[in-house]
Parts: sequence; C-alpha cells; structure tokens
Amino acid sequence: MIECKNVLKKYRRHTALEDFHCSIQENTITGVIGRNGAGKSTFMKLVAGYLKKSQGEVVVMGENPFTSLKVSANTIMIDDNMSLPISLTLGELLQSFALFYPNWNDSLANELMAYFKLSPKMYVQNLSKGMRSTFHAIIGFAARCPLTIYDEPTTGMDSAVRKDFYRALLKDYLAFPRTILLSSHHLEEIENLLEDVLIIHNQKAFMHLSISELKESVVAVKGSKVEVDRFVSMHEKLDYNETIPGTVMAVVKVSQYVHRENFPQLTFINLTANEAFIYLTDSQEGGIDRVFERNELV
Amino acid sequence: MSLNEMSLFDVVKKQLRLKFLSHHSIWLSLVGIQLFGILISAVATSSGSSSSGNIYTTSHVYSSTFLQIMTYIWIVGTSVYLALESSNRIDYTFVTTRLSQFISNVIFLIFIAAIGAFTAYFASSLIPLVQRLFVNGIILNTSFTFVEHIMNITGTFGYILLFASTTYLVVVLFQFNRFIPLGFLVLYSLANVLLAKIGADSLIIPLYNFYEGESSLSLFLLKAFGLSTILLASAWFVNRSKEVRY
Amino acid sequence: MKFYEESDLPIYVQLAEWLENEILREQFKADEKMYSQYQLADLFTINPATAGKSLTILLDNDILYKKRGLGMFVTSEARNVILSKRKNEKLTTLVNGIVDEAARLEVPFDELIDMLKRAKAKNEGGINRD
Repeated sequence: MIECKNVLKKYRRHTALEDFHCSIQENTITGVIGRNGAGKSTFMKLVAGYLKKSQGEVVVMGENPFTSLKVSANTIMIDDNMSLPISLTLGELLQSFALFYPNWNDSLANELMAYFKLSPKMYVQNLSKGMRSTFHAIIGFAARCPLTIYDEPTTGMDSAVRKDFYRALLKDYLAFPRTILLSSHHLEEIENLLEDVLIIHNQKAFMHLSISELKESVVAVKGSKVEVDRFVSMHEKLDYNETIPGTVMAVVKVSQYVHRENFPQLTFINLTANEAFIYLTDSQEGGIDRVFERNELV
Repeated sequence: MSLNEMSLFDVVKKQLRLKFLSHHSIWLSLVGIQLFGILISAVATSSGSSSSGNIYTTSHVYSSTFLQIMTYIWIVGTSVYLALESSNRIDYTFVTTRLSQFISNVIFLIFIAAIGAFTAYFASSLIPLVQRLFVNGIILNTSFTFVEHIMNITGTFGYILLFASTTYLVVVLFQFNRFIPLGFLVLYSLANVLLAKIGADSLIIPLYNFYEGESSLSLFLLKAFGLSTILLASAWFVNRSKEVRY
Repeated sequence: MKFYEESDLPIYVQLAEWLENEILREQFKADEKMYSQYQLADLFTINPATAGKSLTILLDNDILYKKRGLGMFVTSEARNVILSKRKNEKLTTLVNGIVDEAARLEVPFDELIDMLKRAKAKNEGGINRD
C-alpha cells in the first residue's frame, strides 16, 4: 500500500525526514509513534499527498500521492486542522463527504452522530475541541477509505469518548478491513489495536515491527549487580540504575526473544509498549533526570 | 478493500457542486452590493449630479457606473477568497489534486463572473424604476435591441473576467512570495516616475487604450479572454506544485 | 479478562491461555467450532492479527484443527493436550518455585508435603460446601 524509499523532506533549512524507508502492507493497522517533532505528521502528509518529497521515492497505491487523484480519492486524513467550510452544518458536511467518497456509510455516520450527541444542525465552529475531534473521527469511520490516516485523532476527547473511539475504530476495521495509520501520544491506549508499529525517531523510520516484537525487544531486569551485569553485557544497554548498593535495575534491547526461565537469578519487570518505546528512543544521555542532576551540580 | 477510480471530470464536477453550496457569502455579498449599487446610482442620477456623465462607462448606454464598480469590487473580493490557500485547503479535506482544484476554481470563477455580469446588467435596468420612486417623471431611455442587451452583458463579463483573473494571479503570487507583487508595484511606480520625468505617457495609458479603446466588441472579448487565459495559466504554473501546509 | 500489566506475558499468550481455559471449562467441546480471530478481536478489542497469533499457538499444539473455509475446531484430544502441557510447564514451574522458597525458608520437606495435603483438604472441603 505504502512504499517509502530513501525519502528526504526538507522545509527550507529544517529537515523533517531523512533517509526514510518503510513499507506498509494493505489492511493493517499501523501505529505511527514518535516523540514530538520526530516527523510523524510529515510522514503522514507525504502519504496523503499534501506534501511533496524533496528526494527519494514515495509510492502509495502504485502512484505518486502528490499528483495522484486516485490516492486522494481513496485516502482520508483526519487531524485537528481539517479545513471544513464553515457555512455548512454538520449534516450538510456529511452529505458533502458522501458526495466525494463512494464507500460512504451514511447510516453509520448518522448513528454515530446520535450516539455522540452531535446534532446535524450544528456548525463546526461552535463545537468544543473534543466534540470537533469526535466529528472528525465519525467522518473517518463513515468514509471507509481504503487508506485512512488518523493523526492524533483523540485530541481533546475525554477518556470515555477515547475508549469509544478505539472500540469503534476496531469494530469498523473488522467490518471493513482497510489500511489504517494511527498516531497517538497514548501508545498504551492503542497498543492492543495495532498490528504493527512504525517508530519515527530523529527524522528516520527507526523501527518497523509488530507490537509484540516491540514489547519483546525491550527487557527490564532487576537483581544483584553481578548477575545483571552479566545479562547486560550480552545485550544492548538502554538504561542502568543502581537503586540500592549492590542491586541494579537495567533495561536492555534484545535481538532475540529472551526465555526468562533461563535466568532464575534475575527478576524480569514487565514493560508496556509505551515504556519500551520511551527506552528505545531516549537519548543515551539518561533522560530528564540527567538534566536535573547536571543543573543541581552547578 | 478495492480501490475506487475517479476521473478528473468527476472530481471537478463534485468540487464545483461543493463550491456552489458552501460559498454562501459570495451570493449574499453579490445581492447586497448590487442593491446598494442600484440605490446609489438611482439617487446620484436622479439628483442631477453629473457623475454618470463624466465617468467613462463601458457600454455608454446606461447610467449604472457605480453599480459596475461595485460588481468589480465584488469580483476582486471573491477572487481573493477563492485563491487563498485557506479556502483551497478545504478541497484537500475532500478529494482533489492541484490540477482538479485549479480547473474547478477557474470554471467557478468564469461562472460567477457570468452571474456577476448578468445580475449587474439586470440590476442596472432596475435603476429607472428606483429613480421613479425618488423623482417623478424622469425616465431614461432604456429601450435596447436584443443584440445590444447581449453586447452589454458580454462586455461587462469580459471586464469582470479580467478583474477576476488578475486578482487570482496576484493572490497566488503573493502567497508564493510576499515580495513578488510588491516588487511589481515598485517597478511599475518607478517606471511611471521615469516616464513622467521624460514627459511620456503613464504605462496605464496603452493598456487602457488596448481595452477601453477597442470599439469592436468581438475584438475586445478576444483580447480580454486572451489576457485572462495568460493570467490564469501563469497562476497554474506558480501553484501546480504548491504543498498543502498548515 | 483484562490485559496490560496484570501479567508478564504478551497479550497473544494470555489470550491463548484464556482459550485453553475455556476448553478446560468445556465451553468448547471436541469438534465444536472455536471463536474466529475476528470474534476474538471484537470480544477483547484487540487487533485481529494478535488474536490470530493466539489461535495459531493452539493450532500448533494440536488443540485446534482447521476445516477449510469453515474455521477452527477443537480436537478430540484438546483437553488432554492442555492438561499435560499445563502439568509439564505451569505446574513444574510452580512446584520448582515452591521447593525453592521452602528451601530458602528452611521448611523441612515433610512439612511442605503436609502443607500441600492441608491445602488439598481445604480445597475439597470448599468444593463440598458449595
């Protein structure tokens, strides 16, 4: 569905993506994860055909998305800044989407509107942030586009609505499988929905793997310094902390699944996908703690 | 999920439909501006002022200069609005490429230019009626043949189209780089100052003569459409690889 | 069932275990149709690929078999497979843990056996009362 090869994207002097490679399969839900400013939105806008690559190759549905009508007709991008004509009511807006998207599911749109207590007579500019996000999400479901891109779709939604949103996203995906890109700051909320994770870090596609591989690739262990050191030396060290003298907690990146029963002297601490992601993308400097420690010394 | 194929023609058609439905303000402002124009023209003419006599009008046949000026202002405002990226971003929420967007914008501009010309013309024929409300007895001669009606409308249409395409290009250039239109303005002023120093005519004169001095309607239309095409083609050239940023 | 931090195991392993429990509880008998990966995805709000992974584990262990175009069904030996697997894996791990812990706490082995017996008696008493 999506192929990126050696993509470079520059905004004047600032580089947003560099040496970027990825390949996204059809009918998968892929989480696009990264720190602020890592290049998530740039990647999504390149795919949606909003932005033009500076170099390299971006191929979506076999075409260059920036000039392709086919890509535009089969893609919908949902984000905070969707431009909608403010002269139309929500109901009229839904009808306009129905005009452009042949797979549009009108009954689903109307039922979701009723469920989330959005009246078709309202105007977008009168909606609260959370309600506006909800309205955008409804458009994303009902359009049933073969490629549906959600860039931070839950901004402003309260946790109950977020939960509904995730459930709706999954149910709709089960009913109409399609390719979904989903970025969110709440990886812990979406991890179960995802099949794959694309981690964008420092303007590059840092890792592209299944969600279970992500969780298995980062291991946290606790134990005596000798035992932990022996374990750490076999893997890539991400974090190392001597909490109590003699007792060490360490986080490592492993290349193969670690059979915990082989290390009876160590306590394995379970990490969420989000923690795994944070350890993987944390600069080797030791994170925010180090910054404070340095400042306290001064 | 299988992919849908959509032809350029289809998309342009749908975009036009959306533009007609969503741009309420264009129609409202047209009605408002022309009502205002009718009133002012009627009052100005009936009070015996010489405004209609002195200001050069396109068709020379009706005293609705003010109404026409208002319509030109309206088309300039509308063209600015249509060329602005903030309105063009709406197309990207739905289905578009730069090409389909440009085509639908141009068709929409031509269409509203025609509507502007028609309404301006019909509004001007209301002026005598309004005049009768204010001043009894004064009736201007408004009996034209059918061909003259058509000539008046197409003449106005040509002007409106010129205003529209010029504005569209200026806004597109301005969004491409703020300094380009300003640069043109500075160059133009400098040239005028220099020309004035050597005692030559201002640059606007030949341009004015080229259009305003054209006595044949068909030649005028040819010139107007030709220039509009060049202006809009330039706008396309500037805009075709513009990104959608926000 | 809730996932997340409750267990050290990945979701698909937890789900596979849950399915095994359902078979042990005889919610699914031999030759009955198992949930599809889509039903499981819907049931637990998880990605169907994850649910598919759980089913594959059961398939690989001969707990389920595939009927082309019809889905997955419980094998006749499913219960035995699960029981012996649990015995081998889970129970062995648990027993090892108990023995280790008993050694650390210096509990004599006889006492440990007595504790196990008492636990069994209590458990059976509980069942009888119900």
